[in-house]
Amino acid sequence: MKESPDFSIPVTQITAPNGEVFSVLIEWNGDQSLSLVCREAIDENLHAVIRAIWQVLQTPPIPGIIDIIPTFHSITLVFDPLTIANTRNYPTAGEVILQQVMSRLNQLTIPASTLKRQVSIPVCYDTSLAPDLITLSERLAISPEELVTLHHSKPYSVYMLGFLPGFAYMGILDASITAPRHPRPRPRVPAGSVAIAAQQTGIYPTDSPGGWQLIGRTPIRMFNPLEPNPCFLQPGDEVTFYPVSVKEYHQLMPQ
Amino acid sequence: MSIRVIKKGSLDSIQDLGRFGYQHLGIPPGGALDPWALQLANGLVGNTPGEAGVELFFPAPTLQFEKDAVIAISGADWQPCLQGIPVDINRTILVKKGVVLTFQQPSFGRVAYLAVRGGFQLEPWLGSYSTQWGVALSGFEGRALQKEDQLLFRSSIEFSTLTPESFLPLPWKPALQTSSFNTPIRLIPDTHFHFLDEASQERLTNATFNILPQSNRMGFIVKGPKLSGNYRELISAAVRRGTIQWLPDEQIILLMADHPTTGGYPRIAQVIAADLPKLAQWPAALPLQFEWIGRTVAEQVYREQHFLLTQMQNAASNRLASYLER
Repeated sequence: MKESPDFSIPVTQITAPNGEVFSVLIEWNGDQSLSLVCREAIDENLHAVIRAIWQVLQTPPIPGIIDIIPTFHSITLVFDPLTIANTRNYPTAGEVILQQVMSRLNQLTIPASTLKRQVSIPVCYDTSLAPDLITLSERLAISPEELVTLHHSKPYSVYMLGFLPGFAYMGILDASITAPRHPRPRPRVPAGSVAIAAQQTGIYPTDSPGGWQLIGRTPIRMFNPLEPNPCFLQPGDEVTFYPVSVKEYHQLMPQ
Repeated sequence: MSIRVIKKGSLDSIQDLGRFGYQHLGIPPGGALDPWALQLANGLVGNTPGEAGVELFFPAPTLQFEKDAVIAISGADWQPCLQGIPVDINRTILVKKGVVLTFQQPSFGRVAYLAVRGGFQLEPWLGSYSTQWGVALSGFEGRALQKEDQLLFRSSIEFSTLTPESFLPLPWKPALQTSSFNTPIRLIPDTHFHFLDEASQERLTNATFNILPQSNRMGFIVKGPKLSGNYRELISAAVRRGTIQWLPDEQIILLMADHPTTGGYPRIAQVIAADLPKLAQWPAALPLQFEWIGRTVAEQVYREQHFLLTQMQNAASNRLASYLER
Protein backbone atom coordinates (compact mmCIF):
# COMPACT_ATOMS: atom_id res chain seq x y z
CA MET A 1 0.00 0.00 0.00
CA LYS A 2 0.96 3.57 -0.50
CA GLU A 3 2.99 5.34 2.13
CA SER A 4 0.60 8.19 2.73
CA PRO A 5 -0.52 10.61 4.13
CA ASP A 6 2.78 12.04 3.11
CA PHE A 7 1.62 15.16 1.34
CA SER A 8 0.50 18.55 2.54
CA ILE A 9 2.20 18.71 5.92
CA PRO A 10 2.04 22.16 7.53
CA VAL A 11 5.52 23.19 8.61
CA THR A 12 5.56 26.86 9.39
CA GLN A 13 3.77 30.18 9.16
CA ILE A 14 5.17 33.30 7.54
CA THR A 15 3.90 36.84 7.91
CA ALA A 16 3.68 38.90 4.71
CA PRO A 17 4.51 42.65 4.56
CA ASN A 18 0.80 43.50 5.00
CA GLY A 19 0.60 41.49 8.22
CA GLU A 20 -1.26 38.57 6.64
CA VAL A 21 -0.09 35.20 7.91
CA PHE A 22 0.50 32.43 5.37
CA SER A 23 0.75 28.75 6.29
CA VAL A 24 3.48 26.92 4.44
CA LEU A 25 2.98 23.23 3.67
CA ILE A 26 5.45 20.62 2.50
CA GLU A 27 4.38 18.47 -0.39
CA TRP A 28 6.50 15.56 -1.59
CA ASN A 29 6.62 15.20 -5.37
CA GLY A 30 8.11 11.76 -5.85
CA ASP A 31 11.53 10.74 -4.56
CA GLN A 32 13.61 13.61 -5.96
CA SER A 33 11.50 16.69 -5.43
CA LEU A 34 9.54 18.53 -2.77
CA SER A 35 7.51 21.72 -2.73
CA LEU A 36 6.77 24.45 -0.22
CA VAL A 37 3.20 25.49 -0.86
CA CYS A 38 0.93 28.31 0.35
CA ARG A 39 -2.79 28.58 -0.34
CA GLU A 40 -3.67 28.47 -4.02
CA ALA A 41 -4.10 32.07 -5.15
CA ILE A 42 -2.68 34.79 -7.34
CA ASP A 43 -1.89 37.39 -4.73
CA GLU A 44 0.80 40.02 -4.32
CA ASN A 45 1.32 39.44 -0.58
CA LEU A 46 1.45 35.69 -1.01
CA HIS A 47 4.03 36.16 -3.73
CA ALA A 48 6.12 38.39 -1.44
CA VAL A 49 6.33 35.34 0.86
CA ILE A 50 7.27 33.10 -2.08
CA ARG A 51 9.99 35.54 -3.18
CA ALA A 52 11.40 35.74 0.32
CA ILE A 53 11.53 31.94 0.60
CA TRP A 54 13.11 31.70 -2.85
CA GLN A 55 15.81 34.18 -1.83
CA VAL A 56 16.66 32.49 1.45
CA LEU A 57 16.92 29.09 -0.29
CA GLN A 58 19.16 30.37 -3.08
CA THR A 59 22.09 31.79 -1.17
CA PRO A 60 24.21 30.12 -0.16
CA PRO A 61 23.25 27.19 -2.39
CA ILE A 62 22.07 24.05 -0.60
CA PRO A 63 24.24 21.16 -1.84
CA GLY A 64 22.32 18.62 -3.88
CA ILE A 65 19.54 20.96 -5.03
CA ILE A 66 19.64 21.20 -8.84
CA ASP A 67 16.59 23.38 -9.51
CA ILE A 68 14.45 25.82 -7.52
CA ILE A 69 11.23 26.76 -9.26
CA PRO A 70 9.12 29.54 -7.74
CA THR A 71 5.54 29.85 -9.01
CA PHE A 72 2.45 31.85 -7.97
CA HIS A 73 2.00 30.09 -4.65
CA SER A 74 4.69 27.42 -4.41
CA ILE A 75 8.39 26.72 -4.64
CA THR A 76 9.50 23.36 -5.98
CA LEU A 77 12.96 21.98 -5.22
CA VAL A 78 14.54 19.28 -7.36
CA PHE A 79 17.47 17.40 -5.86
CA ASP A 80 19.98 14.80 -6.94
CA PRO A 81 20.18 12.13 -4.22
CA LEU A 82 23.48 10.81 -5.57
CA THR A 83 25.21 13.97 -4.36
CA ILE A 84 23.58 13.84 -0.92
CA ALA A 85 24.72 11.60 1.91
CA ASN A 86 22.01 10.10 4.10
CA THR A 87 22.39 9.78 7.83
CA ARG A 88 20.72 7.70 10.49
CA ASN A 89 18.47 10.63 11.42
CA TYR A 90 17.71 11.59 7.85
CA PRO A 91 17.30 8.33 5.95
CA THR A 92 16.61 9.84 2.52
CA ALA A 93 18.05 12.71 0.49
CA GLY A 94 14.62 14.32 0.74
CA GLU A 95 14.84 14.42 4.55
CA VAL A 96 18.38 15.83 4.38
CA ILE A 97 17.16 18.60 2.07
CA LEU A 98 14.03 19.24 4.12
CA GLN A 99 16.04 19.65 7.30
CA GLN A 100 18.21 22.30 5.62
CA VAL A 101 15.19 24.01 4.09
CA MET A 102 13.56 24.20 7.52
CA SER A 103 16.62 25.78 9.08
CA ARG A 104 16.62 28.38 6.28
CA LEU A 105 12.90 29.07 6.80
CA ASN A 106 13.57 29.67 10.48
CA GLN A 107 16.07 32.40 9.56
CA LEU A 108 13.58 34.01 7.20
CA THR A 109 12.56 37.59 7.79
CA ILE A 110 10.39 39.48 5.34
CA PRO A 111 11.29 43.15 4.95
CA ALA A 112 8.34 45.53 5.22
CA SER A 113 8.73 46.49 1.58
CA THR A 114 10.45 43.99 -0.64
CA LEU A 115 12.92 45.45 -3.08
CA LYS A 116 12.08 44.32 -6.60
CA ARG A 117 14.06 44.75 -9.78
CA GLN A 118 12.26 47.42 -11.83
CA VAL A 119 11.90 46.75 -15.55
CA SER A 120 10.33 49.06 -18.16
CA ILE A 121 9.05 47.52 -21.36
CA PRO A 122 7.93 49.51 -24.43
CA VAL A 123 4.77 48.21 -26.07
CA CYS A 124 3.27 49.25 -29.39
CA TYR A 125 -0.50 48.86 -29.12
CA ASP A 126 -1.15 49.76 -32.77
CA THR A 127 -3.82 47.48 -34.24
CA SER A 128 -1.38 46.35 -36.93
CA LEU A 129 0.57 44.61 -34.12
CA ALA A 130 -2.42 43.81 -31.91
CA PRO A 131 -4.74 41.41 -33.75
CA ASP A 132 -7.16 40.94 -30.83
CA LEU A 133 -7.36 44.53 -29.57
CA ILE A 134 -10.53 45.57 -31.41
CA THR A 135 -12.57 42.40 -30.92
CA LEU A 136 -11.54 42.14 -27.29
CA SER A 137 -12.44 45.74 -26.47
CA GLU A 138 -15.84 45.22 -28.13
CA ARG A 139 -16.35 42.15 -26.02
CA LEU A 140 -15.37 44.00 -22.84
CA ALA A 141 -17.58 46.95 -23.88
CA ILE A 142 -14.78 49.50 -23.55
CA SER A 143 -12.86 51.45 -26.17
CA PRO A 144 -9.52 50.09 -27.42
CA GLU A 145 -7.88 53.23 -25.98
CA GLU A 146 -9.31 52.50 -22.53
CA LEU A 147 -8.16 48.90 -22.72
CA VAL A 148 -4.64 50.01 -23.65
CA THR A 149 -4.54 52.64 -20.91
CA LEU A 150 -5.75 50.16 -18.30
CA HIS A 151 -3.07 47.73 -19.43
CA HIS A 152 -0.11 50.10 -19.04
CA SER A 153 -1.28 52.24 -16.14
CA LYS A 154 -0.13 49.95 -13.33
CA PRO A 155 3.01 47.94 -12.58
CA TYR A 156 2.88 44.15 -12.65
CA SER A 157 4.74 41.47 -10.75
CA VAL A 158 6.43 38.61 -12.56
CA TYR A 159 4.94 35.67 -10.67
CA MET A 160 6.43 32.82 -12.62
CA LEU A 161 8.19 31.84 -15.83
CA GLY A 162 6.91 28.80 -17.65
CA PHE A 163 5.22 27.42 -20.78
CA LEU A 164 8.20 28.53 -22.91
CA PRO A 165 11.76 29.61 -22.05
CA GLY A 166 11.40 33.21 -20.92
CA PHE A 167 7.58 33.37 -20.85
CA ALA A 168 6.70 35.50 -17.81
CA TYR A 169 3.29 35.29 -16.14
CA MET A 170 2.54 38.79 -14.86
CA GLY A 171 -0.38 40.23 -12.93
CA ILE A 172 -2.71 41.25 -11.64
CA LEU A 173 -4.76 42.86 -14.43
CA ASP A 174 -7.45 45.42 -13.74
CA ALA A 175 -10.69 43.44 -13.35
CA SER A 176 -12.32 45.25 -16.27
CA ILE A 177 -9.83 43.87 -18.81
CA THR A 178 -9.64 40.22 -17.84
CA ALA A 179 -10.28 38.00 -20.83
CA PRO A 180 -10.62 34.31 -21.58
CA ARG A 181 -8.11 32.44 -23.72
CA HIS A 182 -9.03 31.68 -27.33
CA PRO A 183 -10.78 28.31 -27.50
CA ARG A 184 -8.41 27.35 -30.30
CA PRO A 185 -4.80 28.51 -29.91
CA ARG A 186 -3.24 30.33 -32.87
CA PRO A 187 -0.68 28.08 -34.57
CA ARG A 188 1.88 30.89 -34.60
CA VAL A 189 2.10 33.93 -32.34
CA PRO A 190 5.03 36.22 -33.22
CA ALA A 191 7.81 36.76 -30.67
CA GLY A 192 7.26 39.92 -28.63
CA SER A 193 3.46 39.68 -28.69
CA VAL A 194 1.98 41.22 -25.54
CA ALA A 195 -1.03 39.22 -24.45
CA ILE A 196 -3.62 38.86 -21.75
CA ALA A 197 -5.54 35.89 -20.37
CA ALA A 198 -7.64 35.69 -17.21
CA GLN A 199 -6.04 38.01 -14.61
CA GLN A 200 -2.65 37.79 -16.26
CA THR A 201 -0.53 39.42 -18.90
CA GLY A 202 2.48 37.95 -20.66
CA ILE A 203 4.86 38.37 -23.58
CA TYR A 204 5.59 35.57 -26.04
CA PRO A 205 9.41 35.25 -25.98
CA THR A 206 9.67 33.30 -29.25
CA ASP A 207 7.38 32.50 -32.16
CA SER A 208 5.10 29.77 -30.89
CA PRO A 209 1.53 28.53 -30.80
CA GLY A 210 -0.55 30.43 -28.26
CA GLY A 211 -4.08 31.01 -27.05
CA TRP A 212 -3.84 34.35 -25.24
CA GLN A 213 -5.46 37.60 -26.49
CA LEU A 214 -2.86 39.67 -28.40
CA ILE A 215 -3.11 43.38 -27.61
CA GLY A 216 0.32 44.73 -28.57
CA ARG A 217 3.92 43.95 -29.30
CA THR A 218 7.26 44.84 -27.74
CA PRO A 219 10.50 45.32 -29.69
CA ILE A 220 12.47 43.97 -26.69
CA ARG A 221 13.97 40.52 -27.15
CA MET A 222 12.49 38.58 -24.26
CA PHE A 223 14.65 35.55 -24.99
CA ASN A 224 18.20 35.70 -26.31
CA PRO A 225 20.15 32.46 -26.06
CA LEU A 226 23.47 34.23 -26.64
CA GLU A 227 23.16 36.23 -23.42
CA PRO A 228 24.59 34.63 -20.26
CA ASN A 229 21.14 35.17 -18.77
CA PRO A 230 18.99 34.36 -21.80
CA CYS A 231 15.68 35.55 -20.34
CA PHE A 232 14.90 39.27 -20.10
CA LEU A 233 12.60 38.78 -17.11
CA GLN A 234 12.89 36.68 -13.99
CA PRO A 235 10.51 35.79 -11.18
CA GLY A 236 10.01 38.68 -8.77
CA ASP A 237 10.64 41.49 -11.25
CA GLU A 238 8.30 44.47 -11.30
CA VAL A 239 7.34 45.39 -14.85
CA THR A 240 5.95 48.67 -16.16
CA PHE A 241 4.71 48.89 -19.74
CA TYR A 242 4.88 52.16 -21.65
CA PRO A 243 3.21 52.80 -25.01
CA VAL A 244 5.27 53.54 -28.12
CA SER A 245 4.27 54.38 -31.69
CA VAL A 246 4.79 52.07 -34.66
CA LYS A 247 7.74 54.23 -35.69
CA GLU A 248 9.34 54.02 -32.24
CA TYR A 249 8.65 50.29 -32.18
CA HIS A 250 10.69 49.85 -35.35
CA GLN A 251 13.44 52.18 -34.12
CA LEU A 252 13.74 50.21 -30.88
CA MET A 253 13.83 46.87 -32.68
CA PRO A 254 17.33 45.35 -32.33
CA GLN A 255 19.03 45.06 -35.71
CA MET B 1 34.43 14.39 -40.72
CA SER B 2 33.19 11.68 -38.47
CA ILE B 3 29.62 10.36 -38.75
CA ARG B 4 27.60 11.14 -41.84
CA VAL B 5 23.84 10.67 -42.02
CA ILE B 6 23.12 8.58 -45.13
CA LYS B 7 19.42 8.29 -44.38
CA LYS B 8 17.69 10.09 -41.56
CA GLY B 9 15.66 8.27 -38.93
CA SER B 10 12.33 9.34 -37.48
CA LEU B 11 13.88 11.51 -34.76
CA ASP B 12 17.65 11.39 -34.30
CA SER B 13 18.95 13.97 -31.86
CA ILE B 14 21.86 14.81 -29.61
CA GLN B 15 21.05 14.28 -25.92
CA ASP B 16 22.91 14.22 -22.65
CA LEU B 17 21.49 14.06 -19.12
CA GLY B 18 19.76 17.43 -19.43
CA ARG B 19 20.04 21.06 -18.50
CA PHE B 20 19.34 21.72 -14.84
CA GLY B 21 19.25 24.97 -12.92
CA TYR B 22 17.14 27.00 -15.34
CA GLN B 23 13.61 25.78 -14.76
CA HIS B 24 12.75 29.01 -12.90
CA LEU B 25 13.22 30.74 -16.29
CA GLY B 26 10.88 28.31 -18.03
CA ILE B 27 13.80 26.43 -19.60
CA PRO B 28 13.06 22.69 -19.38
CA PRO B 29 15.83 20.20 -18.55
CA GLY B 30 15.18 17.94 -21.56
CA GLY B 31 17.84 15.24 -21.98
CA ALA B 32 17.87 11.57 -22.91
CA LEU B 33 14.48 9.86 -22.73
CA ASP B 34 16.25 6.80 -21.26
CA PRO B 35 19.11 8.29 -19.23
CA TRP B 36 20.18 4.86 -18.01
CA ALA B 37 20.77 3.53 -21.54
CA LEU B 38 22.73 6.64 -22.53
CA GLN B 39 24.96 6.27 -19.46
CA LEU B 40 25.47 2.59 -20.22
CA ALA B 41 26.52 3.31 -23.82
CA ASN B 42 28.91 5.99 -22.58
CA GLY B 43 30.38 3.61 -20.01
CA LEU B 44 31.04 1.00 -22.70
CA VAL B 45 33.17 3.43 -24.70
CA GLY B 46 34.92 4.87 -21.65
CA ASN B 47 33.16 8.24 -21.66
CA THR B 48 31.92 10.07 -18.60
CA PRO B 49 28.34 8.93 -17.99
CA GLY B 50 26.76 12.24 -18.98
CA GLU B 51 28.55 12.66 -22.32
CA ALA B 52 26.24 13.56 -25.21
CA GLY B 53 25.20 10.70 -27.49
CA VAL B 54 22.85 10.26 -30.43
CA GLU B 55 19.30 9.37 -29.42
CA LEU B 56 17.44 7.26 -32.00
CA PHE B 57 13.84 6.25 -32.58
CA PHE B 58 12.54 3.65 -35.03
CA PRO B 59 12.58 3.88 -38.06
CA ALA B 60 16.24 4.43 -37.30
CA PRO B 61 18.80 6.18 -39.51
CA THR B 62 21.59 4.82 -41.68
CA LEU B 63 24.89 6.25 -40.52
CA GLN B 64 28.38 6.04 -41.98
CA PHE B 65 31.60 6.38 -40.01
CA GLU B 66 34.04 8.60 -41.84
CA LYS B 67 36.76 8.07 -39.25
CA ASP B 68 37.80 5.19 -37.02
CA ALA B 69 35.80 5.10 -33.80
CA VAL B 70 35.00 3.17 -30.64
CA ILE B 71 31.22 2.88 -30.40
CA ALA B 72 28.45 1.28 -28.36
CA ILE B 73 24.70 1.07 -28.88
CA SER B 74 22.37 0.70 -25.90
CA GLY B 75 18.71 0.90 -25.07
CA ALA B 76 16.31 -0.43 -27.67
CA ASP B 77 17.43 -3.49 -29.68
CA TRP B 78 16.54 -3.07 -33.34
CA GLN B 79 19.22 -5.49 -34.50
CA PRO B 80 21.99 -3.06 -35.38
CA CYS B 81 24.16 -4.12 -38.33
CA LEU B 82 27.62 -2.97 -39.36
CA GLN B 83 28.25 -3.50 -43.08
CA GLY B 84 25.08 -5.57 -43.05
CA ILE B 85 26.42 -7.93 -40.38
CA PRO B 86 24.38 -8.13 -37.15
CA VAL B 87 26.12 -6.91 -33.98
CA ASP B 88 25.06 -6.90 -30.33
CA ILE B 89 23.79 -3.94 -28.41
CA ASN B 90 25.61 -3.17 -25.15
CA ARG B 91 28.92 -4.11 -26.69
CA THR B 92 32.09 -2.09 -27.20
CA ILE B 93 32.91 -2.14 -30.92
CA LEU B 94 35.94 -0.84 -32.83
CA VAL B 95 34.85 0.54 -36.18
CA LYS B 96 37.03 1.40 -39.18
CA LYS B 97 36.46 4.37 -41.40
CA GLY B 98 33.79 3.75 -44.07
CA VAL B 99 31.66 1.32 -42.08
CA VAL B 100 27.87 1.77 -42.39
CA LEU B 101 25.50 1.30 -39.45
CA THR B 102 21.92 0.24 -40.10
CA PHE B 103 19.11 -1.11 -37.95
CA GLN B 104 16.99 -4.04 -39.12
CA GLN B 105 13.78 -4.25 -37.16
CA PRO B 106 12.25 -3.17 -33.88
CA SER B 107 12.19 -6.12 -31.53
CA PHE B 108 12.61 -4.47 -28.17
CA GLY B 109 12.31 -0.95 -26.84
CA ARG B 110 11.37 2.54 -27.88
CA VAL B 111 14.63 4.49 -27.88
CA ALA B 112 18.29 3.65 -28.56
CA TYR B 113 21.58 5.48 -28.00
CA LEU B 114 24.79 5.59 -29.96
CA ALA B 115 27.85 6.66 -27.98
CA VAL B 116 31.26 7.37 -29.48
CA ARG B 117 34.46 7.38 -27.43
CA GLY B 118 35.51 10.99 -26.84
CA GLY B 119 32.08 12.40 -27.71
CA PHE B 120 31.08 14.88 -30.36
CA GLN B 121 32.41 18.31 -31.17
CA LEU B 122 29.40 20.48 -30.35
CA GLU B 123 28.63 23.72 -28.55
CA PRO B 124 26.89 23.36 -25.18
CA TRP B 125 24.15 25.79 -24.18
CA LEU B 126 23.68 26.51 -20.46
CA GLY B 127 25.91 23.60 -19.57
CA SER B 128 24.22 20.92 -21.68
CA TYR B 129 24.37 19.49 -25.20
CA SER B 130 20.76 18.31 -25.19
CA THR B 131 18.68 19.46 -28.13
CA GLN B 132 16.25 22.19 -27.03
CA TRP B 133 13.46 21.82 -29.57
CA GLY B 134 11.21 24.63 -28.33
CA VAL B 135 13.74 27.32 -29.15
CA ALA B 136 15.75 25.29 -31.70
CA LEU B 137 19.01 25.41 -29.77
CA SER B 138 21.90 23.19 -28.73
CA GLY B 139 22.45 19.59 -29.77
CA PHE B 140 23.03 19.56 -33.52
CA GLU B 141 21.81 23.02 -34.66
CA GLY B 142 18.85 22.65 -32.29
CA ARG B 143 17.14 20.07 -34.48
CA ALA B 144 16.86 16.42 -35.48
CA LEU B 145 19.59 15.04 -37.74
CA GLN B 146 18.95 15.21 -41.49
CA LYS B 147 20.42 13.43 -44.47
CA GLU B 148 24.02 14.54 -45.14
CA ASP B 149 24.53 16.04 -41.67
CA GLN B 150 28.02 15.45 -40.35
CA LEU B 151 28.71 14.92 -36.68
CA LEU B 152 32.34 15.65 -35.81
CA PHE B 153 34.22 13.62 -33.21
CA ARG B 154 35.96 15.52 -30.45
CA SER B 155 39.01 13.27 -30.54
CA SER B 156 40.49 10.93 -33.12
CA ILE B 157 41.76 7.39 -32.91
CA GLU B 158 43.17 5.01 -35.51
CA PHE B 159 43.13 1.22 -35.64
CA SER B 160 46.03 0.33 -37.94
CA THR B 161 45.61 -3.43 -37.42
CA LEU B 162 42.04 -3.51 -38.76
CA THR B 163 41.41 -3.88 -42.48
CA PRO B 164 39.53 -1.07 -44.22
CA GLU B 165 35.75 -0.98 -43.68
CA SER B 166 35.91 -3.68 -41.01
CA PHE B 167 34.87 -3.68 -37.38
CA LEU B 168 35.69 -5.61 -34.21
CA PRO B 169 33.32 -6.24 -31.29
CA LEU B 170 35.51 -6.52 -28.20
CA PRO B 171 35.33 -9.84 -26.37
CA TRP B 172 33.38 -8.80 -23.27
CA LYS B 173 29.84 -7.87 -22.37
CA PRO B 174 28.56 -6.19 -19.25
CA ALA B 175 26.55 -8.42 -16.93
CA LEU B 176 23.22 -6.66 -17.16
CA GLN B 177 19.84 -7.24 -15.72
CA THR B 178 17.53 -6.19 -18.51
CA SER B 179 14.37 -4.30 -17.65
CA SER B 180 11.50 -6.59 -16.83
CA PHE B 181 8.16 -5.45 -18.13
CA ASN B 182 6.38 -7.99 -15.94
CA THR B 183 6.65 -5.74 -12.93
CA PRO B 184 4.60 -2.55 -12.56
CA ILE B 185 5.88 1.01 -12.82
CA ARG B 186 6.21 2.30 -9.28
CA LEU B 187 4.50 5.48 -8.14
CA ILE B 188 4.42 7.87 -5.21
CA PRO B 189 1.10 9.69 -4.73
CA ASP B 190 1.30 13.42 -5.41
CA THR B 191 -0.48 16.52 -4.18
CA HIS B 192 -3.83 16.07 -5.93
CA PHE B 193 -4.20 12.32 -5.57
CA HIS B 194 -7.19 12.89 -3.30
CA PHE B 195 -9.00 14.71 -6.15
CA LEU B 196 -9.76 11.20 -7.42
CA ASP B 197 -12.72 9.44 -5.87
CA GLU B 198 -11.95 6.26 -3.96
CA ALA B 199 -12.87 3.93 -6.80
CA SER B 200 -10.57 5.83 -9.18
CA GLN B 201 -7.75 5.83 -6.64
CA GLU B 202 -8.03 2.05 -6.61
CA ARG B 203 -8.30 1.89 -10.39
CA LEU B 204 -4.94 3.59 -10.81
CA THR B 205 -3.18 0.51 -9.44
CA ASN B 206 -5.73 -2.22 -10.17
CA ALA B 207 -6.40 -1.51 -13.82
CA THR B 208 -4.07 -1.57 -16.83
CA PHE B 209 -3.26 1.31 -19.11
CA ASN B 210 -2.08 1.52 -22.71
CA ILE B 211 0.50 3.94 -24.05
CA LEU B 212 -1.11 5.69 -27.03
CA PRO B 213 0.76 6.17 -30.33
CA GLN B 214 0.68 9.98 -30.05
CA SER B 215 3.06 9.68 -27.08
CA ASN B 216 6.40 11.38 -27.59
CA ARG B 217 9.43 12.80 -25.82
CA MET B 218 7.20 15.36 -24.12
CA GLY B 219 4.80 12.91 -22.55
CA PHE B 220 3.22 9.47 -22.71
CA ILE B 221 -0.53 9.69 -23.07
CA VAL B 222 -2.07 6.57 -21.64
CA LYS B 223 -5.55 5.22 -21.96
CA GLY B 224 -7.17 3.22 -19.22
CA PRO B 225 -10.40 3.19 -17.28
CA LYS B 226 -11.99 6.59 -16.76
CA LEU B 227 -10.85 8.39 -13.66
CA SER B 228 -13.50 10.38 -11.86
CA GLY B 229 -13.69 12.58 -8.81
CA ASN B 230 -13.33 16.25 -8.04
CA TYR B 231 -11.65 17.37 -11.23
CA ARG B 232 -10.54 20.98 -11.42
CA GLU B 233 -7.69 22.85 -13.03
CA LEU B 234 -5.22 24.69 -10.89
CA ILE B 235 -3.06 27.75 -10.82
CA SER B 236 0.07 26.59 -12.62
CA ALA B 237 2.92 25.13 -10.61
CA ALA B 238 6.08 23.14 -11.34
CA VAL B 239 5.89 19.72 -12.98
CA ARG B 240 8.65 17.16 -13.50
CA ARG B 241 9.64 14.19 -15.56
CA GLY B 242 7.47 11.37 -14.30
CA THR B 243 4.64 13.60 -13.07
CA ILE B 244 1.27 11.99 -13.79
CA GLN B 245 -1.30 14.63 -14.65
CA TRP B 246 -5.03 14.02 -14.73
CA LEU B 247 -6.44 15.49 -17.93
CA PRO B 248 -9.92 16.97 -18.49
CA ASP B 249 -10.92 14.02 -20.72
CA GLU B 250 -10.55 11.66 -17.73
CA GLN B 251 -7.29 10.19 -19.03
CA ILE B 252 -3.76 10.72 -17.76
CA ILE B 253 -0.43 11.86 -19.17
CA LEU B 254 2.99 10.83 -17.87
CA LEU B 255 5.35 13.74 -18.45
CA MET B 256 8.65 12.73 -20.02
CA ALA B 257 11.97 14.33 -21.04
CA ASP B 258 10.65 17.38 -22.92
CA HIS B 259 7.96 18.34 -20.42
CA PRO B 260 7.32 22.05 -19.91
CA THR B 261 8.45 23.39 -16.54
CA THR B 262 4.97 24.21 -15.24
CA GLY B 263 1.41 23.02 -15.67
CA GLY B 264 -2.08 23.44 -14.30
CA TYR B 265 -3.59 19.94 -14.48
CA PRO B 266 -3.99 18.00 -11.22
CA ARG B 267 -0.82 16.09 -10.33
CA ILE B 268 -2.03 12.77 -8.99
CA ALA B 269 1.21 10.78 -8.78
CA GLN B 270 4.89 10.71 -9.62
CA VAL B 271 6.81 7.86 -11.26
CA ILE B 272 9.88 7.09 -9.15
CA ALA B 273 13.18 8.15 -10.72
CA ALA B 274 14.49 4.56 -10.89
CA ASP B 275 11.58 3.49 -13.11
CA LEU B 276 11.78 6.34 -15.65
CA PRO B 277 14.23 4.46 -17.93
CA LYS B 278 12.01 1.36 -17.88
CA LEU B 279 8.96 3.51 -18.63
CA ALA B 280 10.82 5.12 -21.54
CA GLN B 281 11.38 1.68 -23.10
CA TRP B 282 7.94 0.23 -22.26
CA PRO B 283 6.66 -1.67 -25.32
CA ALA B 284 3.67 0.04 -26.95
CA ALA B 285 1.84 -3.29 -27.26
CA LEU B 286 2.16 -4.16 -23.57
CA PRO B 287 -0.36 -2.86 -21.00
CA LEU B 288 1.12 -0.66 -18.33
CA GLN B 289 0.51 -1.34 -14.65
CA PHE B 290 1.25 0.83 -11.65
CA GLU B 291 1.93 0.12 -7.99
CA TRP B 292 2.64 2.28 -4.97
CA ILE B 293 6.02 2.46 -3.32
CA GLY B 294 7.37 4.54 -0.45
CA ARG B 295 9.88 7.37 -0.91
CA THR B 296 12.53 5.64 1.17
CA VAL B 297 12.48 2.45 -0.87
CA ALA B 298 12.28 4.44 -4.10
CA GLU B 299 15.51 6.18 -3.22
CA GLN B 300 17.23 2.93 -2.22
CA VAL B 301 16.28 1.40 -5.57
CA TYR B 302 17.64 4.46 -7.37
CA ARG B 303 20.93 4.35 -5.46
CA GLU B 304 21.35 0.62 -6.12
CA GLN B 305 20.61 1.09 -9.80
CA HIS B 306 23.25 3.76 -9.96
CA PHE B 307 25.77 1.72 -7.99
CA LEU B 308 25.48 -1.14 -10.50
CA LEU B 309 25.77 1.26 -13.40
CA THR B 310 28.92 2.81 -11.95
CA GLN B 311 30.49 -0.61 -11.35
CA MET B 312 29.76 -1.64 -14.92
CA GLN B 313 31.11 1.66 -16.27
CA ASN B 314 34.32 1.33 -14.30
CA ALA B 315 34.86 -2.26 -15.41
CA ALA B 316 34.16 -1.45 -19.06
CA SER B 317 36.35 1.67 -19.02
CA ASN B 318 39.28 -0.16 -17.46
CA ARG B 319 39.11 -3.10 -19.86
CA LEU B 320 38.82 -0.79 -22.83
CA ALA B 321 41.69 1.43 -21.66
CA SER B 322 44.03 -1.53 -21.22
CA TYR B 323 42.91 -3.02 -24.55
CA LEU B 324 43.65 0.24 -26.39
CA GLU B 325 47.05 0.55 -24.71
CA ARG B 326 48.24 -2.80 -26.04
